[in-house]
Amino acid sequence: MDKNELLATLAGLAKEAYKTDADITPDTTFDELGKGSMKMIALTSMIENELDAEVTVSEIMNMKTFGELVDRVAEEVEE
Amino acid sequence: MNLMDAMRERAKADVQRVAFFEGENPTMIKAVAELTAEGLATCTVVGDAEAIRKNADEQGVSLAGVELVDLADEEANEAIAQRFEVLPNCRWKAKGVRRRVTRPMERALMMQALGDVDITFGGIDCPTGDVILGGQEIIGLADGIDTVSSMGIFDIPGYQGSDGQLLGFGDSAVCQNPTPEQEASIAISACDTWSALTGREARCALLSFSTDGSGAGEMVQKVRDARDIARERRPDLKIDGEFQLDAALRPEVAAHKVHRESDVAGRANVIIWPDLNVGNVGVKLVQMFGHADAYGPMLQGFKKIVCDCSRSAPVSEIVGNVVMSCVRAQCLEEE
Repeated sequence: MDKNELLATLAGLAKEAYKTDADITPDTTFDELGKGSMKMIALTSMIENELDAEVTVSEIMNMKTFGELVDRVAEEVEE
Repeated sequence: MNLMDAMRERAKADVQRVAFFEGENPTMIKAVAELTAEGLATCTVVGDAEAIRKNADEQGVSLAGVELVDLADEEANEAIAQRFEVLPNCRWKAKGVRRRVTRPMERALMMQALGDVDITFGGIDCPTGDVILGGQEIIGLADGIDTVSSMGIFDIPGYQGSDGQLLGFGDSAVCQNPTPEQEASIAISACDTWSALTGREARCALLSFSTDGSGAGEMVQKVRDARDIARERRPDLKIDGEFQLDAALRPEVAAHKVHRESDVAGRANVIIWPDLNVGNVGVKLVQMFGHADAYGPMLQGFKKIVCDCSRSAPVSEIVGNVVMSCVRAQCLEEE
């Protein structure tokens, strides 16, 4: 899966987890999406179920942008 | 009989099942042995059984009566995974469930979600944040609650409040800058925790620098909104504000400042800080200048009781925290 495809997949999951229709780009910040931990938990479990990549909520809490999440998941998927 | 002695008697009268996931920690295993020996809890320790037994031997404590759940037991792991993955609120597919079933904290929480134990207790080796996230992922938040928070009870020498020397407070540990919905959640959870621990009805004041409109602005409005949300969600509870501390606790000040009916003003037994800045400073002021002892803080807001302790907690503090958790779990059981 290339980076653009991964971004599209993750953006789709994030829209579902955060219940938003807004466009999500690599520059979208988690502050914009909302830092609610239950939403982050929903997102991490979706990522794990769909992509078999385990990224923790604590990691996401330390990320500023959605692009950082895409990079982190790409590392997991490549392994 | 003081509050802790009363709670120990209640814990013994209806013994709860507690899962621990840090059995290789010397302090934790001593606490498990003491809780078991004194009949305060039925203890299950999840982890590497051999290492847990070795730790108990080194500490000179007996594990008689303690159940060990060995994460090397693949058959038992698979059995739990199969039961857990069919729960309606299971978040993960088969692989994710099996990843977690061999991790001590997550396994303990899974057992709790399945009803095999009543309480999960830990935090001496792992950060509070991990316990909170694990609890949210596997146990989930209670109905009508938006956030995990904490609640404690002061025992203040010389204080003559509406419940004697006792005063409940929340949140001084978890939720930094709560939204109105989150502040309402903290108040609701704190009322339930107070009632479970003391057996008394909570009268909960949402604190502010303003009393009933004496001040204005965003900070005051947040507290007023929180009050309205809390009352809408739980009309059975006595929650009111916004009140200054003295208007919340002293009847003569409330009579002067609160010009309406209130079943809380002047006789609150639970106070809710507007944010963590106030909560942290407030607790330290009461402890330093009021020479108060504090029970807790205890985590609250989960569907079931998940409790953590300070990483420097001695055995006595862990035993006390577990006893309080058991009493809270009894009340959930009754519901």
